[in-house]
Amino acid sequence: MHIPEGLLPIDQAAGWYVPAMAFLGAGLAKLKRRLKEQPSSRPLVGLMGAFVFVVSLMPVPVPGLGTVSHPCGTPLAAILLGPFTAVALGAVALLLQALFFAHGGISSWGANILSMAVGGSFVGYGVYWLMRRLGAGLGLAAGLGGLAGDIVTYAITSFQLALALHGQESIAATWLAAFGSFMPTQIPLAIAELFFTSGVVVFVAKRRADLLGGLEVQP
Amino acid sequence: MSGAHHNSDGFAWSSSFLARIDPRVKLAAVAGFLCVNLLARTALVPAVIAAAMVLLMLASRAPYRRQLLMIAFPSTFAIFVVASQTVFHGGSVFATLGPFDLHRDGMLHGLFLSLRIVAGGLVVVVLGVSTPLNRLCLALKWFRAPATFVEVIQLTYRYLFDMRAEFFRMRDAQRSRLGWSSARHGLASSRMLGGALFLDVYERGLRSAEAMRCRGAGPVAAGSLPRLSRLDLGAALASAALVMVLAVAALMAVGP
Repeated sequence: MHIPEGLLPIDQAAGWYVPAMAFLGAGLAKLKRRLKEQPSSRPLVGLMGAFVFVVSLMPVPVPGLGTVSHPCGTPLAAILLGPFTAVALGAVALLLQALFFAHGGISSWGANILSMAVGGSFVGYGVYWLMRRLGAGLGLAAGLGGLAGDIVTYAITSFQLALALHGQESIAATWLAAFGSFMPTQIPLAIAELFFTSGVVVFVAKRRADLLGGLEVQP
Repeated sequence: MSGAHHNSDGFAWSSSFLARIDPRVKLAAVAGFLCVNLLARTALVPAVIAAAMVLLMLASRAPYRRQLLMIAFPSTFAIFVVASQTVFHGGSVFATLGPFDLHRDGMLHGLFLSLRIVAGGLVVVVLGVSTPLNRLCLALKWFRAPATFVEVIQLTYRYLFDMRAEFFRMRDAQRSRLGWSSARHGLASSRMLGGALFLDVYERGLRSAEAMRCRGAGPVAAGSLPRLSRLDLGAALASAALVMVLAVAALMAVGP
């Protein structure tokens, strides 16, 4: 769930922008090198950007909370293209969603980049990398990466909401309430993301192993 | 397949006066309105912004249903904010609902925040329905946004339509083969569809990228925006004046 325009206080909105722009700058620098060295990777970059856009725009209502939940797509992008590149793609997807569907916002763009693009990508890729190091199969490692990236995205969003909305309650209690409210819808979605991420990576590995060889995936 | 009519970008090509305003002016005005909206401590500033944006939305001539749909997400979130603030924000208790005390001050703060969310959402909607993406990209280039960033926006936008067309074709084909007849089949079909979609769109993208390269197209859309017209200057002056008045009102107001 993306934080909408106008919700965050101006100091928090600006505060989330600082690390988000640092990650985005690093992602764009990495992407620039990739596009320069391999101009033929443009279709893959565009495709993954579109993929993250579509997947993170599938709204599922959260009962009791009055808002919506959705899968992320950034863990898969991170597994295929690397976490920094996935941050840049996630940031672009978030910007286009804000402009075309008012899903998210411009002032909350930094906060949303940190939760979905940075959190989803780095945790998803980190879990995938760790599982592969521990000897897990490609499908299992990718699937668990998808699951972890999805859950962490919502944990970060809940923290950002708790920081903005806790009032006289403690931040921890508000975080627990927000995160707990997301879970009934987010756990099934995270499991769906597990199967989907695993399925796509395994399918591509079977049909076009040559394609994965040139990416960040090391089967 | 253009497909642009499936989102606000299709309407942004209309001939309304709002669509004709230079995107640089609109971007600067949007930045100003959003900052002032966040600085607001009373309901007056977001209420004025929301009213101004509703007038501009009417002038944009985009279909009302589409505009209402776009504002639906911020509006539903606004309801959540009122509810959460009524419980968490504190103040005098006016009712009890199960284990929760409902606070009057919290509810008022929630209503203020929800007005700010709706006003901010309307500002973004107005920009979205009145500015085609390619003109927005030219404006971003003019504001010195990194070329790679602008290129990724354009690539993502292009592949959205390829992906959409391919997805519906493959989903219908899978349905005709009873791929979704049970939960087990559905799961297996979704995984297969995801992988096949990825490869098909990728290969289609490679072909179209090669074709574009042969035609001499560069990675980023060429071109630049023309000089500002009188309409642009008028719009810039009007929005700057309104932003300044609202900024003064926001900074002088005493919060609740």
